[in-house]
Amino acid sequence: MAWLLDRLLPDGDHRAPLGDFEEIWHHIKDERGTLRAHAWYILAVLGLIPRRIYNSIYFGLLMLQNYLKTSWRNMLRNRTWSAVNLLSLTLGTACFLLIAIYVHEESTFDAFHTDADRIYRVNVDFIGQSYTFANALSAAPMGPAIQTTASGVDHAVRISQVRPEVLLQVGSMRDFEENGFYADSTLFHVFSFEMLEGDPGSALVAPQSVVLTASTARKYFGRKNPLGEFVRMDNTTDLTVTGVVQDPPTNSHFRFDFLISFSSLNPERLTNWFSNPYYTFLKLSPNKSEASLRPVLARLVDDNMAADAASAGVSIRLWLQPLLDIRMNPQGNDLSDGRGAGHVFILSGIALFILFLACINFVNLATARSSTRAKEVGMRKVIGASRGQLMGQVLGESGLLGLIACLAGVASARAALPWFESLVGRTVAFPFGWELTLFILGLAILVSLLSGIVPAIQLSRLQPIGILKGNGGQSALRGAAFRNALVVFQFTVSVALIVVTIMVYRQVGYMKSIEHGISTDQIAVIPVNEPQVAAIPTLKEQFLRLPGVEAVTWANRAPGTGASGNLIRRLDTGEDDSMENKYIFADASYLDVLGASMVAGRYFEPHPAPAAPSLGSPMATDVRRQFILNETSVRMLGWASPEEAIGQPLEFGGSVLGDVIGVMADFQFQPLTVSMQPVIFQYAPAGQGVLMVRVRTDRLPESLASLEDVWNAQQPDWPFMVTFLDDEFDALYASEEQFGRMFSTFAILAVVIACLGLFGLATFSVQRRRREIAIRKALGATDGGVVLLISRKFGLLILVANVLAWPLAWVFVKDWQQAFAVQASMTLWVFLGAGAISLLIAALAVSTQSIQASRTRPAEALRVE
Amino acid sequence: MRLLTRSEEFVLLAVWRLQENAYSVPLSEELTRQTGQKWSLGAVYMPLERLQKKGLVTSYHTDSTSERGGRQKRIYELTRSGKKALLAIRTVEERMWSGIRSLVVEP
Repeated sequence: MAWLLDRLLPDGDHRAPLGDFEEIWHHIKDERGTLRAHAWYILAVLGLIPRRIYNSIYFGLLMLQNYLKTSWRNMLRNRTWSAVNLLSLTLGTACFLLIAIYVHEESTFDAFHTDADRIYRVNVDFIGQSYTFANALSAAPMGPAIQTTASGVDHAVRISQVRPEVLLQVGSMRDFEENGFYADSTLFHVFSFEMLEGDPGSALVAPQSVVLTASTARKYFGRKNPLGEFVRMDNTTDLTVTGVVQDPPTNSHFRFDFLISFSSLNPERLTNWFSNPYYTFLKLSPNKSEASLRPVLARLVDDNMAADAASAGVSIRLWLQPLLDIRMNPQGNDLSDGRGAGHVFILSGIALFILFLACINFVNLATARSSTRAKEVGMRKVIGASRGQLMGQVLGESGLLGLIACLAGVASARAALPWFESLVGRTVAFPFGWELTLFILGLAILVSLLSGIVPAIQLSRLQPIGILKGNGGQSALRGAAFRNALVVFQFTVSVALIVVTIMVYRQVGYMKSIEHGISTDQIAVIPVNEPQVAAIPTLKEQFLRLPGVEAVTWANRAPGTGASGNLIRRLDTGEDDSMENKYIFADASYLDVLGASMVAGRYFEPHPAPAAPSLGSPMATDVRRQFILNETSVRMLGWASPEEAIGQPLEFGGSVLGDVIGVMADFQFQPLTVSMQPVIFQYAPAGQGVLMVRVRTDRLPESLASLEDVWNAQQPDWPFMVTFLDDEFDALYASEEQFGRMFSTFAILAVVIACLGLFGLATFSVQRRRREIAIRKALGATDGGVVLLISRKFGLLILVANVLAWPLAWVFVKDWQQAFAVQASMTLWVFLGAGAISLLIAALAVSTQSIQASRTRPAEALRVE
Repeated sequence: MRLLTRSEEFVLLAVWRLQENAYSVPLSEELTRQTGQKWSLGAVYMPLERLQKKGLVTSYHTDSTSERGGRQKRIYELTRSGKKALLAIRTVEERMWSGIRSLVVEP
């Protein structure tokens, strides 16, 4: 206690006060006992603490004020220096902030639901011998079955998309809507979407009920309260509006425009365990773990699905994925359009790098200036500043800069938000409030520590004697190697980002340039929905009669957009192995329109056949079908040549039998982001899908107009929609192009920050070498020689950075390209180009300074002394 | 001369009153007894320090005594200007009190 007292007393001679305490302690002990004495002593000492803290804060603040004042004056005195630092730190923090907000949103997706940690989705994995198909969709009986057999499941809800496009109509207002879902009445028990009108408990109970989001309601009903009104769907069904919900927030992976009660679905469709169009979500009771449900899920598989699966040569695994995990780990057929954890990881990495680059500028400029500041440091030391105080001063300076930069960063981030949103491809909510404030403070502290700690150590290490003797510059030179290393690091990151950017664009360009295997020019694509299936033959016939139309075909998917998959199995080998094939239904004129070619066998002849099956309705199994495979499928099924496959029996989807009649050359039925996959073609004359019309080049506008006329005559209730196949192919790589834009932006940012630093260093270097340059000039050095003298060192650093960056970028790009079926080559030119760009920009940054230095007249520089 | 604060004035007077025994503990006891208010050690240290800065008192350390756990005492005594200050205070006080109506506190 006496020791503590000694620490707490103010500076000075402590002998007497310690004695005083002792004496009083003795007094109290004599009068009232040892215990009281001890109590008094302890209380008295502890009572000193608040005062002591108050004092240290008070005087600390006084000192801080002094530091701030010096920092402020320093900033004002060195305008270039401060501007470079502030600009780069502002860019760095703004960029960091935006990405941090984005990453935060990505990682807290769906967390707004009450008890989000108790919500799980049932995923169904199909595991074959050589592949696993992870699937977010499950069968209709799944949810109810789990709820009845397992304890601890509070609610289950099934969701399924009505169709990719649904026509809604209220009065004269009609439009296609994309995000319509069937949902069980328990939806609002599981999810916390806020109900604005209507009763969440009963809104989705009755058949033909519809719940609209606020914006859908506004679109169709204006300001009128839509409750109890009718919405006509697909010109056939009248739905009663039973509720209005708040639009799902941007950080919900499940986003919808309207919900239709599940009871509207035909109950006969809901018993099939092998048709999987539903997302099943469970809300578990508190304290119920996902693991405890595993036995139940395994039993469900055994009881209902295992037998069928085994006959198809796969095994099935059910598992529960936490709702909060869905955004980061999307499964096959997922509702989430998230790009997963890898994307977030790359972005976070870039954010940190850019912030780091900005901090490096501060480090470099501060240590480079340490020689000019050596006198100030020396004086402070002589007067009695401790090393800690000096470090505090430098940290205070970086803190002041950091704080200003962070505030400016917030403002610029806010201003750049719309642009950032287009960069990441989704809306981002800017979270004003105490969280942001805390984050900014934290960021400011991080920035000032990152950038201040090295200069603080270096400056405070200076020895006053050396400085005042006049060789203070020595230590600044010592730091040069360190600074060079940091510059190399900055440019390594920049060059690597440039290389990656070039390669992303090259990859996209390459994928676009590759022959599709079909001709995509002048092909109009017209979507047809279920209600028009009956009219397809008439439409085809009338389209063909138009003068500008060369050929018309129907298929369930347009090429390029991908396809659904199902299992197929060879029946001629006697083995039980089956594999997933994509399937496409098409009519007899598919080849005429698309120009795909047959490698072996023949294409379909027109023959009577049922329409293609649609979502949820199983295929008829009583007819023996004709199959056409693509080359990849033939290879993967194990035939040595296309000819061998002809005439062989196959089983499709576990129950449909047929024979291979032909093999089609591979063409891009899906984006090149995935490798070429096996496809099985089947004949169907009509169905839900697209009509593709090859139009003559010379009469495009007239042809389009006449197509529309025919459509309107045949289908007056349905709006005519048309796109072009080549446009759709161009749009396939939108997400990669976005990735490229993102990278190019960050590459530019990194280069700008690095060049700002270089500019600052060059300024400093020219300042320091004024007299040297003057003497050289006086002795006959040319202007060019001087420019070279200044630039040479920086050029060398950038060359080193290039050499370091190339392999790094190469590894990254190789890894990224793994995901693509085709890979653009990385020629030496890409690297040399990036190197040239970096050198050129750096030369620009340095040249203003070096040229100025070379222009200065020697007399002016030397006159000073 | 500059006027002292009340606490400095009292402490100065107490130092004179206690003479050789004028160190912090008896000072605080004496002041507590005379004024009827609690004078903690800190309340004595601070005025003493200021008085010393103003040159009105000086101090010296005694040899260590066993009663204080071997620790030294710091005895204070008035300097010449300290004594003059006390006298001046007294003069001022008496001047202020003299010739005024008798002060009666009504019940």
